[in-house]
Amino acid sequence: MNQILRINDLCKSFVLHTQGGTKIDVFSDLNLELSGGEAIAITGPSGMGKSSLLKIIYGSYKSDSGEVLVKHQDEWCNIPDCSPREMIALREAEIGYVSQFLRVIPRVSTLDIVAEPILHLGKLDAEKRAGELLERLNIPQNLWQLSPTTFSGGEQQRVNIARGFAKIRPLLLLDEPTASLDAINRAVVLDMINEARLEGSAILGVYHNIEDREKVSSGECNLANFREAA
Amino acid sequence: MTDIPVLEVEGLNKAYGSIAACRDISFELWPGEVLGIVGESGSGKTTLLKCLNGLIEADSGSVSYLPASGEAKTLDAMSEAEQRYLSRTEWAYVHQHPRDGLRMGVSAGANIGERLMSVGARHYGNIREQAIEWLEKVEIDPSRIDDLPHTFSGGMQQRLQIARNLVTAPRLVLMDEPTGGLDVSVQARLLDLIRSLVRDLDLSVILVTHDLAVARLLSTRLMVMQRGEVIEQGLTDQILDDPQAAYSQLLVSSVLQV
Amino acid sequence: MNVSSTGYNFAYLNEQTKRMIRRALLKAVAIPGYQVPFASREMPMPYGWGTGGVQVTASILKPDDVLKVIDQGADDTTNAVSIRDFFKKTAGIATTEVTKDATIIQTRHRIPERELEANQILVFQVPIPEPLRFLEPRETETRKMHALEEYGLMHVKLYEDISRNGQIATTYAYPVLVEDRYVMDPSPVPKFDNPKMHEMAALQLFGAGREMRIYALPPFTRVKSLDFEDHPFEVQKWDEPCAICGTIGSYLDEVILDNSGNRMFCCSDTDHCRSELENAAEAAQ
Repeated sequence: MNQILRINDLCKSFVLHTQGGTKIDVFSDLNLELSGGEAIAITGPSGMGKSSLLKIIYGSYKSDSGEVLVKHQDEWCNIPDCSPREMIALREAEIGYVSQFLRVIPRVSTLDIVAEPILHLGKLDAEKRAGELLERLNIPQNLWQLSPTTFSGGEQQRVNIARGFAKIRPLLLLDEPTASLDAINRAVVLDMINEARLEGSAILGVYHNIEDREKVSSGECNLANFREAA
Repeated sequence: MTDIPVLEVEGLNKAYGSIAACRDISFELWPGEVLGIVGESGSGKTTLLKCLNGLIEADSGSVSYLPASGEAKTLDAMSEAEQRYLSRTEWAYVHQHPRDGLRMGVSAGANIGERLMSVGARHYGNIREQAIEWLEKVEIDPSRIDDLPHTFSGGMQQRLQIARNLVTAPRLVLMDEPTGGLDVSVQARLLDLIRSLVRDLDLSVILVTHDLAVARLLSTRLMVMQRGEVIEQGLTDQILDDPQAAYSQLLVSSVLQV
Repeated sequence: MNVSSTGYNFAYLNEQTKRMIRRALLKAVAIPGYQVPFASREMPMPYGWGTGGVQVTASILKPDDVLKVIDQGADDTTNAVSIRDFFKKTAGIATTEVTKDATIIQTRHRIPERELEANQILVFQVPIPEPLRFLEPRETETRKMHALEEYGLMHVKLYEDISRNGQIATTYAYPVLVEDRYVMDPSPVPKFDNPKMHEMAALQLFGAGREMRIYALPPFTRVKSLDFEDHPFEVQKWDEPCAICGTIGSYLDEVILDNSGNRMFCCSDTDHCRSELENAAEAAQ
């Protein structure tokens, strides 16, 4: 099995300086391993740090201690030690991340937003692929040239997914990808996740309902197990 | 990925009398990267920017620049002529107030053409053609080419200033609050413009702003400054989503939600 | 008139001042087109009346010189007559209105039509010596621009001319590049006279009294009028000959004759006009 992610003894807490330095422990001594073709669902009650874990792997959050190793060009990179520049290269090559929220510059068209990660293919090919994804996710073609800032929550979420799947990377981090979708689109997204997995990507996801989780996961990692006994 | 930064700053200090505006600042800027500098007014952002292109002389420390041709050189090692040449060719400085960066007494076309003429362009027709091309790029009606900048709105003036600076395809662009003082719809248009120019021209940009939303949308990396010091730096999303320093947290938590 | 009896030093200025100005002149000749600062003196005439030119003339004048003074090409205007009288009185030198007889010609706003010779010196009165000033008012900055040969701004001005008027509308004080190095304001001569400066046999000296600057073009200096490749430098042309002497190709003044709009065009260079008339009369005989 080709391992792509290895987490050793990871600890995370937040220190809120604006609230008198309150320290909030999230999880500690977390261990996790993930290989290509595997799909692990992160579970646990809300507030357990499911999103935080994804963000630490993506480099958006810092961690207190422990290692987050990601395979990059046959070498293990420890994310907490990566410089911003190394992190950017790592994201570019290895880690895809679909968040719950779409953050875009107003006025940029939906098609451009989805095509952006794959512009290196050339503008035409990038737009073609972007169009295919949007079509599959049932975004009507007459919306493609509009900025998604005015779209409904579900539409925005689908644009976000299209962008996240434009370039399939070896490690996919999914933060409630189906949260605000109707049944039809949910099925499409779950199919897309399974396809990525079959192509060899490793998938680490947070899902808001059990049904979805079971359809796309081969294993589970319950964060409640890594909560320090209070 | 090239392995030499466009700009390398080491231990830069600048004080005004007893007030330190920049304290021991070090960082690197890589090709194609947008580095945001955030912090409240008076934190030394603009002073830093001005030290970087020689508008202000730093008290100590070094700023090393990698020109398009050849080897990295510190500002100290450059002659004034070299620095001034770079500042009309490979460097660009977009002022917060367009009036500071435009020549208000001459037409929009002459404003754009000035950098071209300063590096030897002597064909009126070609200069004009490029001016028109750039007016279109920054979405100013080309029929306004012969109008004076003061007949333009604030947003148009700012776009004109950007065109005037980018016409010689600079490698390093320093922007001081380029979207400050503009209404939000104009700001969005400008952000889109800057983003696409950065991508299409492979610019390296240092963007000073106090608007965290602007910083998030445009910059790959952020530096947080307070009282002349860099108190935190990292990936933009890391600084904004999981700020570590007390001041960064205060800054992020003070943003108004729409 | 006996000069010593008037109580003035020869040519009004004291010898120390003349020496100082000559030093500035030598420096100016050594660096063609470069503006040399000098300690301009108060002269017994207001600024704008040629105090710079007068100081330069006073410093180079010798007792055997023959002085001609013109204002807009004419020998008989107030300014020209006063300056001529001033030197007659303070230096006791000979004066003339005939271009070819003069050894020193002080001029305001013209270069004589007749080609000047190696033994002659042309002294220009200059109001504003700095060609970059209209676009860059800071003297510290313009000096730096000259030092570093940053002359793009000059073309910005010409660009504006073309964009506003369809052509370069600057007709006097038209900027020139001297020996491929310094951009120079040729003083407010019509651009018609610019080509005459190029490789002129006579020494050309420029004095700006109020601005305290002296600059020079040594004989046979290359002087190029700035222009664009697709808008080359051109001089003014007239369709008609001079209404007085009938010659073609000289610089013409428009003279309004009456209140009903009648006008005529005649040579601005009065000596040239007169000599052309004389030549024509001789030929007729």
